[in-house]
Amino acid sequence: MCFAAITSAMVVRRSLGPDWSGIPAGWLLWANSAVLLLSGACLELGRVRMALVLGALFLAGQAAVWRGVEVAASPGNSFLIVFSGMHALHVLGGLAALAFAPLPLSRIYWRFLAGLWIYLMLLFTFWGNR
Amino acid sequence: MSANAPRSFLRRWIFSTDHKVIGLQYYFLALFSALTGMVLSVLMRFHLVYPDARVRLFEWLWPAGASGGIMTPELYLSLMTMHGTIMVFFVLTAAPQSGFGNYLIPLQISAEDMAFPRLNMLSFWTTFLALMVMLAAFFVPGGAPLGGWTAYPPLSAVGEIAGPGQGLGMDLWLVSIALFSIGSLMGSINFIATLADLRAPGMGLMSMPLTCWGWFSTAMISLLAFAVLIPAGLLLLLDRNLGTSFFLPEGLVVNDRVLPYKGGSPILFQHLFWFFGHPEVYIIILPGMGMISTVLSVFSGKEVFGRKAMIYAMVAIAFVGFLVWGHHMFVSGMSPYSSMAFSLVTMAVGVPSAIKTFNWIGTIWGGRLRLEPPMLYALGFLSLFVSGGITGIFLGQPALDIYFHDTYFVVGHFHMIMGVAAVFALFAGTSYWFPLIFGRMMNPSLSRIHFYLTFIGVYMIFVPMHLTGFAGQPRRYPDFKEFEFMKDLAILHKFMTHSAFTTAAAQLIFVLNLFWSAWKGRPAPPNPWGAKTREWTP
Amino acid sequence: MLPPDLSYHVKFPMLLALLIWLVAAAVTGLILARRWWFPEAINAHGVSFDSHLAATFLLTGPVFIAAHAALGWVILRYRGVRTASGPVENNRLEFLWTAAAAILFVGIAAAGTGIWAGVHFDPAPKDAIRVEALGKQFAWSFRYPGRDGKFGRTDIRLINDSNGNPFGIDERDAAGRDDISTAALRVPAGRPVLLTLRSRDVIHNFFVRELRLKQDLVPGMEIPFWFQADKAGEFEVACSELCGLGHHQMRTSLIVLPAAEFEAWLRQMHEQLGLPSQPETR
Repeated sequence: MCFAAITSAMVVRRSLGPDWSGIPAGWLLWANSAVLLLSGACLELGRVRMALVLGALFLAGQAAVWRGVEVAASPGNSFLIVFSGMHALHVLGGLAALAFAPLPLSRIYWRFLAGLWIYLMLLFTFWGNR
Repeated sequence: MSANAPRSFLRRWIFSTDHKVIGLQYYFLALFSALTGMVLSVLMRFHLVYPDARVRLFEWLWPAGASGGIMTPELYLSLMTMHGTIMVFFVLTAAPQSGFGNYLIPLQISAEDMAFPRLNMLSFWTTFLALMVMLAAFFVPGGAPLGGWTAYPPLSAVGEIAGPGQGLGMDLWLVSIALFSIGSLMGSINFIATLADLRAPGMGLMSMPLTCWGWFSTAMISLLAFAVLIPAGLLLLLDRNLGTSFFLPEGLVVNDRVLPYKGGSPILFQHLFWFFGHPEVYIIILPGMGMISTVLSVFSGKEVFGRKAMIYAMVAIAFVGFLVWGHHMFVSGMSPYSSMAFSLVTMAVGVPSAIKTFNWIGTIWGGRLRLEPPMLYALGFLSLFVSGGITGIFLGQPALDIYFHDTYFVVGHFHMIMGVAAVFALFAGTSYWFPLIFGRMMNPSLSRIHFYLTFIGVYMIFVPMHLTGFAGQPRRYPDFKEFEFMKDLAILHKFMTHSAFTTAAAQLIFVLNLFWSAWKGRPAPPNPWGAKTREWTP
Repeated sequence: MLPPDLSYHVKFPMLLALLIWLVAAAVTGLILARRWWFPEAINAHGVSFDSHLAATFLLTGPVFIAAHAALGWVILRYRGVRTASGPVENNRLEFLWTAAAAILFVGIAAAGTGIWAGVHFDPAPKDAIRVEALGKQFAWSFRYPGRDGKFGRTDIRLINDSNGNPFGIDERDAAGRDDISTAALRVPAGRPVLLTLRSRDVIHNFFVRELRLKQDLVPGMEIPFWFQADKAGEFEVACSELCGLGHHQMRTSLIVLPAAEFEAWLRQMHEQLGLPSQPETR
């Protein structure tokens, strides 16, 4: 619901005026997406430590993306930060939980995070940058 | 307690994973918050009728906000903001659901504990942290925020130029709400998992007690609603601190400064906020409805009338409650066509509440009434719920709300339903389950006196408030000196203030009764009320 | 179980029932007395509003009274009885009162749609006088378009409150030179007025009790809103959306003038601007 709310906020914001300039989804974001999906794959295969490392790498990569984006410069920038920041927070929590949560539970959560990220990348690419 | 029960005081009573301890922690957090919120409201009511009074205490507490002992508008507005926030979140969202729910759910469904005891403990301490952050707003430079608990931008977004509390105080408020929301989400997950999975064998969903249905439906809407409040607060925090323009349009001129925002919409915030805000009021009332059904049934010696309908009504309220948020925004600049749609659905959501009211009366009809204190509160609830609900019929129509919006009529309405009816459900629940929790009875004479003083007192406070609403008096005014038409209402305000003083004082009877009886009350038999649910007859 | 103590079951129900009836009577009496009530409406919309309000009272009043009457009666009737005897289910009754509630609630709302439509869906009449309303912390300003019937361009950087230019009217735009800015809203009786609501800083709200009308002023939006006042007089305008520290002082007047007086006032304003005074042609 959180991401649904942000999605609707973005749809409304875009409809308000002609100043929408798209969402900056550069190569680093795509690379990070691959890292996240790899992390999920490791978890599916039961390789928890590798999943944790890749998850941390994903977060580092996101931080690098954010450094290159000025949040207030355009609405697209703002929403990229909000969406990916919220997602990253959830990933952070998931990484922490990997330490003590039962593996099946972590797998389910990771699938949710991966699915959510795929949705976000599709949203950015096909709706945000149309 | 099991054989492996932790021995240290810290693990048994502070960082406990025992649902009973956690339930009591939430309850007493809410009680403390209620007394704080009540003091704030007494201060507000005092100022409204004695705006020029010099009070040494004010000057000592707030040298900037009350220099010379006279309460400034900014101080009044910040007291008002904090009153609403503390009451709505830390009392009415915490106690009925997390307080009573945590204590009673495992007992009522014969489970050992909630599904995730450690998550439960985390959720309480997150809520506690949220309260600390909220209270901290009083103590930072500039003080507490002053935009109302609804915190509409641009007022809430432009920072200190809107008023002293709108600097750090407002940021702390937002952080607190975010923490509270996270605590709520954790609690909701726990409640849903527990009620879905840990019911005793043979207890189908439909045979779950009505109290559990109240907590179940509340947890489900809580999960969805708080998840929307978080982005609303986050986007506001970003607008305030990182220069984004989610809610702020171009061309704002505040204090002679042109602000650099571009392209945002203030109404967007209202949509996000009220999408949470309306389900929130059902989060507040649904557990209470379950508790009232229980009390009315036990003290009438009858099953709840139309039990199945009661369950369907609760679920309907929970579901349809998500579709009516626009009735807070009829005059906001939102499309008037949307207003019509929201109005229709708002009328529809009144129907299950009406059904519940009829069924409550049906429950006591032909019953064998025993007017023990819990029953007094429950009967009082019926009167208050009808009174508060009926004014909703006025407000839910844009044709009438076009006058009533942002008047004291609205303030009267929501206080009757939340501030009074929901609280009477808490009083009923407290006196009803007290013997179970503490093994002692609350003093019945004190309870009766408290009931009568409070029941009369709240009508004396809030009926005149509706009358000032008829006269069109706007809300959130620190004083009434500017307007001719408000002079005639001064006598009503005096009456309300003195009634508020008395009613507030009467609450001390409840608090005294609570603590004294827990320590020295008459020892209670195992099932003093003759109830049939499992917490009494394990 | 505690031994039942029947003595207080007999005494106290009387007290509780009477109290409940007293509360209902007091509320009903206070409303019927109309001692603290709506001011007299000055427009046709207001009259319709009052009718619909009365209809809503007619629907909810008896419900309020009946519920409290029933509550008190049940308490008295069933105190101290030996056994519970009432039904625990009646599906036909459930269906009936559900249907009744649905029809009445939705019905009363449907009945009021005409009033809402009259304010927001019906376009302003062609001969409506156009006025712009500007809300700012913490004062109202109104702007009339002058004899050319056009509002001049505005720019926030040109705002100068102390020089009487709260709108920031651009001098270089000829259309704006004859714009009239005022602190109070003067309108002629019996003619429609199309108000365009704007805000410079935060959300405000324009509310006139006698008109039974209210509308938020939202920064970034220009919200049209029309009305027709039929009775002359001076009426208070109260900001009705929390706008900051001076929210309670954000007051102005709606001054409804007989048509001739309004024309005279307009002429006088034009003269003050140094324009040749000519009668209103519209």
